[in-house]
Formats: sequence, C-alpha cells, structure tokens
Amino acid sequence: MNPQLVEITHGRTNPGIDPVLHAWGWEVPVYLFLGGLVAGVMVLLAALELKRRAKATTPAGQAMPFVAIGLISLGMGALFLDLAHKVHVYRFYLSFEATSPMSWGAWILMIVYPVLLLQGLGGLSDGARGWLRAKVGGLGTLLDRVQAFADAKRRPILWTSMAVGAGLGVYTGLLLGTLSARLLWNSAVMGPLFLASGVSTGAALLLCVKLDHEAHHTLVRWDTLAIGVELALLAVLLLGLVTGGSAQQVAADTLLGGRYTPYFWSLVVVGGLAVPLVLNVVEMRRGLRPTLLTPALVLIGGFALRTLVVAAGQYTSFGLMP
Amino acid sequence: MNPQERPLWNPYVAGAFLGLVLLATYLLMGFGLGSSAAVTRVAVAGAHAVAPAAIENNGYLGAYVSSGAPILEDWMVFEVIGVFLGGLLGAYTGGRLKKGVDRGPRIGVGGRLGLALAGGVLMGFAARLARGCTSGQALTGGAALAVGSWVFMFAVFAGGYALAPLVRRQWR
Amino acid sequence: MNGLFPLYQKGAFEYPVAMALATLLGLGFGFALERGGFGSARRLAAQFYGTDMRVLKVMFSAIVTATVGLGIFGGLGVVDLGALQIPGTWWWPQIVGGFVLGAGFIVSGYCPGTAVVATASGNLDGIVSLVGVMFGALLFGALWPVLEGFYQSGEAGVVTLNGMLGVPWAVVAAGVVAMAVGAFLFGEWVERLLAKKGGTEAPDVDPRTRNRVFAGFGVAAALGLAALAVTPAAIAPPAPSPVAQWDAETLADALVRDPGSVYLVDLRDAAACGKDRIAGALCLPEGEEPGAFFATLPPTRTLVVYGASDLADAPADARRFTGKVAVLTGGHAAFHSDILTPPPAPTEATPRTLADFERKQALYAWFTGAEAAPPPVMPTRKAVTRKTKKGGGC
Repeated sequence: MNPQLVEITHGRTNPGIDPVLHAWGWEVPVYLFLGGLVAGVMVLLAALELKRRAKATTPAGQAMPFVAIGLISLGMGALFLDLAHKVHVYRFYLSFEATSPMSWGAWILMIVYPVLLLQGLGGLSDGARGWLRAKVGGLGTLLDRVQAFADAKRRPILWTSMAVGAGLGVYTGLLLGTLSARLLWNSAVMGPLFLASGVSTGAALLLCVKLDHEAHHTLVRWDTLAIGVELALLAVLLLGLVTGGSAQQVAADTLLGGRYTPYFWSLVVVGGLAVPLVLNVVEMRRGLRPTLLTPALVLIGGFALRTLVVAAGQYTSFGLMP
Repeated sequence: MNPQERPLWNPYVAGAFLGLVLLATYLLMGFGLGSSAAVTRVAVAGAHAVAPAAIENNGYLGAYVSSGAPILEDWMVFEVIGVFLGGLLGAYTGGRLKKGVDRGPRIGVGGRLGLALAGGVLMGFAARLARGCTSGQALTGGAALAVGSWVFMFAVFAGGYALAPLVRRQWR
Repeated sequence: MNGLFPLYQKGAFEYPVAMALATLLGLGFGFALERGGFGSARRLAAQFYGTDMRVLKVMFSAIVTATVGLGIFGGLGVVDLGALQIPGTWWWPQIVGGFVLGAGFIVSGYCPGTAVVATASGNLDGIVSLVGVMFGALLFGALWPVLEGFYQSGEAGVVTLNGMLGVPWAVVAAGVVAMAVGAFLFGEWVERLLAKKGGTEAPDVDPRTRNRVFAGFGVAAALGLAALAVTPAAIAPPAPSPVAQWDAETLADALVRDPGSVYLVDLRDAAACGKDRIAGALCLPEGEEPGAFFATLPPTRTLVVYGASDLADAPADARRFTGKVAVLTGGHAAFHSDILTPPPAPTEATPRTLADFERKQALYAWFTGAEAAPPPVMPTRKAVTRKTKKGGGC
C-alpha cells in the first residue's frame, strides 16, 4: 500500500485529526508570571491594610500599587508582542463572553488599572500627596476629586482590590486549565495553583522592599502559608495526573520522569518552594534577620513554574499519546 | 561574632554526614559528587553564547557541545544548584549568612578579591587537567579507592603547603 | 555479585530523574560543607597553617564513612561494586593538576565546591573565585593543543587500591579507617602544639563526640569485615562482570556515537578478519596468546567481541578483560544483514516506524557510505494561521 495513503488515513500528522496549536514562546510565561505577581500584590496589600486598619507606613510600601501598575503593563506588553493580529486587540472590548476565560481576563485586566490607581492614591502619605499635587499642574482639581473619592471609599476599594486580585490570579491559571488539547493544563487545580503561586511571589516582591517590622512579619507568615498551599496543590495536580487516564499519564511523565523533570524538581519544588518554606519557618521561629535570598528564590521558582507549565503543556499534545 | 550565629558541627560529625551523602550518591547513581564540572559547563555555555564557533572547534571544550543537548542540562549542574541551596540553608540557619569578603586583617578587599580570582583561575585550569577537583577527585574518587584520586589528594595538600608561606599575609 | 544498587546503573530510573535527584543530593552536600565550616576561606586556609585542621578532619571522615559503607554493602551483595564508575588514573596530569589545584586553593581560599557554599553564605570572594574557575577552565580549553599530550600521559586505566593489593574492598576500608584516625590524632597534636607556641587556644573539639565518631568508624570497619565472613563470595576477587548481548544495531549505534567507548575485536581467524571485518574492529594479533592480548586492554571501555555467527558466550580468553564484556548477537553475519544491507521500507508509515526506518537508513549509510535514501514523503503539517488567535494568552 502506498505509505502516503496510510499516512492520510491512520497517521496523527493529518492536521484534521489532532488540533494544530500555536506554540507560545517566552512572552506568555512572562505575562502569566507578572499577572500572578500583581494579583498577589493586590490581594496582600489590601488584606494587610484591612487587617491592621492602618495604611502602609514606609514610602516603599506606599509605592507598591504604582509599581504593580508598571508590572502589569510590562506583562501586557509581553502579551501584546505574542499577538498575531495586534490591531485587533480592541475587539476584546466590544463584547463580553461569559464562558470564555479570555474575555474574562481582558475585562479583569481593564479593571485592575483603576483599582490599583485608587488603592495607591488613597494610601499615600500627606507629604507624598503634596509632592504629587505639585507635579500634576493643571490636573490638580481632577486629582483632588479622585483622591477625595479614594479616601472616602477606602474600605470598599480595598475589598474590590482583593477580589479583582484573586480573580486575576485564578484567571492566569484557568486560562490554561480550560484548554483540553493541552494534557498537562487541563486540570481544575490550575486556577487555585496559580493564585497560590501568585500570592507567594507577590509576598516575595513585597518582602524585597522596605516595610515596617509588623508588616514584614505578617507577610512572611502569609508567604509561608501560600507556599504550603501551593505545595499541596501541586501534589493534588500530580496525583490527579498520575491516577488519570493515559492522556494524563503522558502529561505527568513530563514532570515526573521526562523532559522537564529536573527543572521542575530543582527550580520549582526544592529551590522555589521547599527551601524558602524552611527558611521562612526558621526566620519566624528563631527571629533571624531576614535575607533577600528567600524572596529571590520564591520569585525564581514562580517564574520557573509558569515557564515549565507552559512549555511542558505544549510538549504534551495528543501526538505523544500511545 | 553575630549573636545569632550558632556553632559549627564537630568536624568529625560533619565529615561523617558528608560521607553518608556521598554513600547515598554512590548507592543511587553509581558515581559520586563533583563541582568543577558544573562550573566548567556554565563557563562553556557562556562562551558558547558569545563565540559558538570557537567552542565547537575547540578540541577539548567542543565535547561539551557536540551532543547537541543543552549544555547546562547535566547531572552535575543540578547537583551544584543543590549545593548552593544546601549552603544557603546551612548558612542561614547557622546565623552565618552575611554579605562580606572573608579575609585576614592585613589585606584589603581589592587584594583579597584579586587573589581569589587568581586562585580560581589556577583551580579551574588544574581541575580540567586532573579530571576533577577536590570534590570530584579527592573526595569521590578517594572513597572509591581509586589510586589516582589518592595521589591527586596528596598532591593537593603538597601544593597548598608549598604555597602557604607565600600568601600568609592574606590570612593571618 | 549482582546487587540491586547502584539503582541508576541498574536501570531503576532514567537520566531526567537522576538530575532531579542530583539537586537533593547536592543539597545534602552543600549543607554538610557549610556545617563543616567550609563556607569561610579563612577557616579553610587555616588547614595549611596548621592551626585548624578542619579540612583534613571533615574530608577524611567523609571518605572513611563512604568507603566503609560501600565495603559493608558491597560485602553483603547489596551494591554491585563492579558497576560503580570509578575515576581512572592518569599519573602525571593528576599529580601536576593536584599540585596546581592545591596552590590555587591556598591563594583563593576555596576549592570549586566550597566556593559555591561561600557564595551561598554571602561571601563575595566566593563568587569571584568561581568566576576565576570558569576562566581557568576556558584557559585550559584554549591551551588544549599544547596540553593534549600531557593530559593523556601516564594513563593506567582504572586502578584501585583493593585491585592493586588484591584484597577485598572491606579490608582496604579498614586500613583507611586506621590511617585516618592516625591522621586525625596527628592533626590534633599539631593544632595543640601550634596553639601553645602562638599562645592561642587550639580549636575546641569535644572529646566525647570525637571518640564516639571514632568508635563508630571502628565498628563500621569491623562490620565490613564481618560482612565478608558471612558472604564468602565477596572474598573472591571481583567476579568478571556478566557478558552482555548486543544486537547489531546497538553496536552500530555505539560505533557511530562514541567509537571511544568500545573495543571491538574480531575473533575469527586472521584471514577472515583481514578480508572483511566490521569497520573499527581489531583483529586478534597473530602469534600472540589471545588471553594476554585481552589483558593488555585497559578496562575503560566495553569490550565487544564477535565471531562468524552467534557466540553463546564470550570465550574464556576475552573474560580476562577486566572491564565490561559484550558479545555481538548473531556475530558478523547479523551485522552484515542488519546494518550493511539497505533496510526495507516500512509497510505502515506511522511516525514510529518512519523514525525507526530513518535510523536504520542512517546507520546503513554511515557504514556503507551509501547515500541515505530519502524517507517516504509525508504530508507536511502546515501551521494553520487562524484569525481567532488574537490574544494568545489573554
């Protein structure tokens, strides 16, 4: 029989049989990482202020919402680079599709900006407000009105920020989780996992800047908690894959005994989660001076997790299935 | 002394623990620990990114890239990532994690760093020549009773003692 | 003696898993080095001024522990000592390299491994030292044309203390324990002497802990010897490793990938061998006893032998080779039919059979010099550009 004929009827290379999927490069992991990071920062800053009933005391702490705006813009820039038809972006905002995570994401991203801006402006000290007032010049009255609104609605804004942050974090994972053609991604755990990872990386970023003592301690505790939850969710994800059907087994193999195994265990599980967890616990229990290396490891681990999940997911298409 | 610092382990206990790690490595892998090979791979990967042709055509370094596999995807590289993490855990929990330059009282920071670099170059060169360093040859090969490794170890001590009087200022 | 260990060599897991385990083992290694005090250059350098012999104590304790442990497990037959990858010996490069490395050690204050730990402890000189090591390695590469001869000089193959002395591992291990304890006591004596001379205090060693560790070494060494007594097989010199069966493709693959990994010897008579042997094969030297010839080959490579057709087992002569021995299944005839004849085109063109076919084609082409026939044409997978792709990650 002509091999070509066999190929067309039996082979997996027929584009009509397996879906052809676009391969993502570095842009998407960067976007997912920064998105998760900003989600974590939003949740943590709002939670910290609601818990303490006091605004951030250090200049660095007050600046973080604005830093987050910069980071999410960087992430969206990376995403924009990945788009095939860049001028069509506006179409996202012509409709809302309740069943599409992409549509949810596009709209969440739009809400992130004003929420972060209000959160940041309302948290500024008097000195910083004066400085900002002098800078904006003619827009002064507008700034005053926005500021007044941000002050008056401080608590609702913080609650909104927490909700939007959580939504952003879950969505970065859910985006992958709903793609059934990628075996590794197709899990309901992805959303919570990426949120937990976002919270721990967000805490790590906040721990890199100068905060007051109390805030630092609370964040270390929350960071530890988030890392613990993340480890548990990873275990759930892997157990689910291992005990799943052959498609899930193929996906599990990439992390448990294949191409991405060493990176996953070394950079994510040991270096990015287990070691920082121990360092955090030791810091809390023995009152040791904090080190920047702990948050650095968490950030590296968080980025590695996004990169590996994206890469390993794309590695596991149906073509690998027996 | 930093009030948070805790005493080191008894050297014999630390050594026995290290030996158990080495034994576990042998039992699991069939080969031992190392470190200079990983550092070499980082150097080769860096040089390969800058001047690929020069590395590929090199009679010695070319072997690191000829297989086509990622240069850093290697057992030793992941092991050294672990060494860093283990060192960090040890230093932090022991209260010894502190940014600084370790030097004697009679030498400046610049001089110390210069000597650290120079000594590093000597070691990097020698480790390639001897097919391993104190970890890969002396410790690992020594435990496997390899004659060459024992000879290497005694040569290391000889070299150290021979040069020690010359660099005494650096340390004491 | 065929133990379950070393797991990786026995095929219990693959390389990616090995690399993941490497991080965990390295973690223990780094932690032990740090707790031993190896994160500080001054403490390491003190070894060479006799004031603090930590390097000696930690290193020898580690060697003793691992050696004795291998002796015990090897004696019990748990671990196959023959499967360990033991570093080979090259006399001159190791002596000179060791000396230069020792010099670099005292100048920089670190060795490559401890420099990593020093970096993790926040010592800037540690990372500078590592940068030096990188330059040193590249320097070696740059000088390779000059150094190659010396690098290969004094090659002696895998020489071990137990092999050289002709005694079991555990006996040598017991000797190493005795020597190490002697060295420790001598080192402590030097420390006390110099401390008295310099009017300082000798490094504090808790004698109770020390004696306990020494006693532990002694007990372990005795256990190793006892293991020999209960497993008589262990007393015999290391049994020749079992003869593996290689099929023609395995052999061809090894010859293409890494010809330096095998000795291929044609066991047929000189005439047959001289006329038509597998590329890269050695003929048995005429007028020399074959056993003696095999004994001269250093055991660093796998010895592969073949006859005209199937050999049930490697001949006793080939067994005198101390390294791994393999027999080519089907012998010369099989290599001829499997590799030197064009492979048949696959009947069913799945990616798997195609890949298999291409591999066979490539081997055929390599060994015969023939042009590899083009693989069957396959419909190329076109990337369908879709407009819906907007918002790749959004």
